[in-house]
Amino acid sequence: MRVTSLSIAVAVAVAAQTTYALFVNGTSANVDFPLVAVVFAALLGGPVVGLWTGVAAGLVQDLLSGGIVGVSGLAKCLVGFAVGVVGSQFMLAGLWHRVLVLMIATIMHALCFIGVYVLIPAAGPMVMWTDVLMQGVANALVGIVVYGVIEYAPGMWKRMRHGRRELAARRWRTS
Amino acid sequence: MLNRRQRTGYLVLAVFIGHIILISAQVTAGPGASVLKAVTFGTLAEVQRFVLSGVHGVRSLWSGYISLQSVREENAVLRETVAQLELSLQQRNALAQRAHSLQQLLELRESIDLLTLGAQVIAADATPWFRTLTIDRGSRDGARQDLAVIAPTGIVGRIVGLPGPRAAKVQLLIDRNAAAGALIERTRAAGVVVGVGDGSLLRMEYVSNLEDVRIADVVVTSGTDGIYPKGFVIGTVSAVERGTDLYKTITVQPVVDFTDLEDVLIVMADERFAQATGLE
Repeated sequence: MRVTSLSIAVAVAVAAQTTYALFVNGTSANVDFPLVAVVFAALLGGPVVGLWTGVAAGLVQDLLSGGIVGVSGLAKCLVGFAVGVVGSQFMLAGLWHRVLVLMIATIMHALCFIGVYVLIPAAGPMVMWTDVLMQGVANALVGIVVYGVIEYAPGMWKRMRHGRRELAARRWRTS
Repeated sequence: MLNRRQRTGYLVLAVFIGHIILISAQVTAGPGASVLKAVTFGTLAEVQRFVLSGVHGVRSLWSGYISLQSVREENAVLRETVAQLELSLQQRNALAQRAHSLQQLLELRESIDLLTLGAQVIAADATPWFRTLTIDRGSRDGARQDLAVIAPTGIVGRIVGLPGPRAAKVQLLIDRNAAAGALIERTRAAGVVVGVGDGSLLRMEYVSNLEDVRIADVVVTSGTDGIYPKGFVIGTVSAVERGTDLYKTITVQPVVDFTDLEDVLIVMADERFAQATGLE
């Protein structure tokens, strides 16, 4: 069940990335949806879940992008593992904690990504640090919305159903 | 017996080493990795195609049924535009006939007679750092590595990697790893146009400080790279400075709007171009 839901999360994130980029910017977007999914999985499931989600999301991204296969995979699995370790040691349930984690994860991911390209004899992408910071902010905003929806939607749905049932029962009693 | 912490440590190490081996295999140009990449790319491209068709469905539902409030006014404007376009078309037909006769006269017809294949853009790059697109034509349609991809306005890029059966990856000219042989159309000064990677501009390199290059000069393909056919517009010079070494620093504004690409053409190397560039 966990594997299925994580696979779906990764698939949705990658599909959102390629489709969103096409409609918003034409070529590429600043938000890294798969990274947001990896951080979320790591916070919820711990280091091992973060690691595997990072591997899956990164490799799929690599296969679909113009870069070398494994670079995003490596960067994302390290980020997923690190966030999982931090998430299991500290309470990161607050809004600002998550914003901070997402921003640090984005910077760490960019560092790993650029670091690998520096080490290998291939022309990597030109990454500006202002772009990385902007991406951190964008990821944090998307993350807040996604986490909010995932956390509060089931509760709201339950309350709505409960309210309807109560109403129906009351009508039955009055008639 | 390993405890949980040790197991996790070994797992991280194994995944790390696995990635290093995977990356190393590609850096040393192992062909096996390319095939793996092509097969997986082909499969994943089908998913992207499915997602895009869903998005298109929602968009067409929106534009066809919900967002019809201003259609009447738009219709009137469009009728007027059509009338103007018909007039313009007649003028262009007359010009085209004249151009055609001149073209035959100069025996230039063969040089621009390229076989092209229309393709639709189905996905953007999966990472924010590279400038590639996925198109809905693959090896089944005759697309192969290093074929040029153009838009009506100019050069878009080239197909990179082994295409899937029904999809191919296009490296845009603005990608940092992209390059094309180029000429300043006015002076025929040759150089190489490369992507800067910031998504909007190109740089023309190896143009001597002695050459005459001005702002608004048109930059066209030279055909020397064996990928892009000669004479296609790349962009216009937006900035030019005398370089500190032997070459000028030239910034080129591409004519193609890379943020709004929906349909492109793949140049299926024609016989003349193939002979000139050594392609089969």
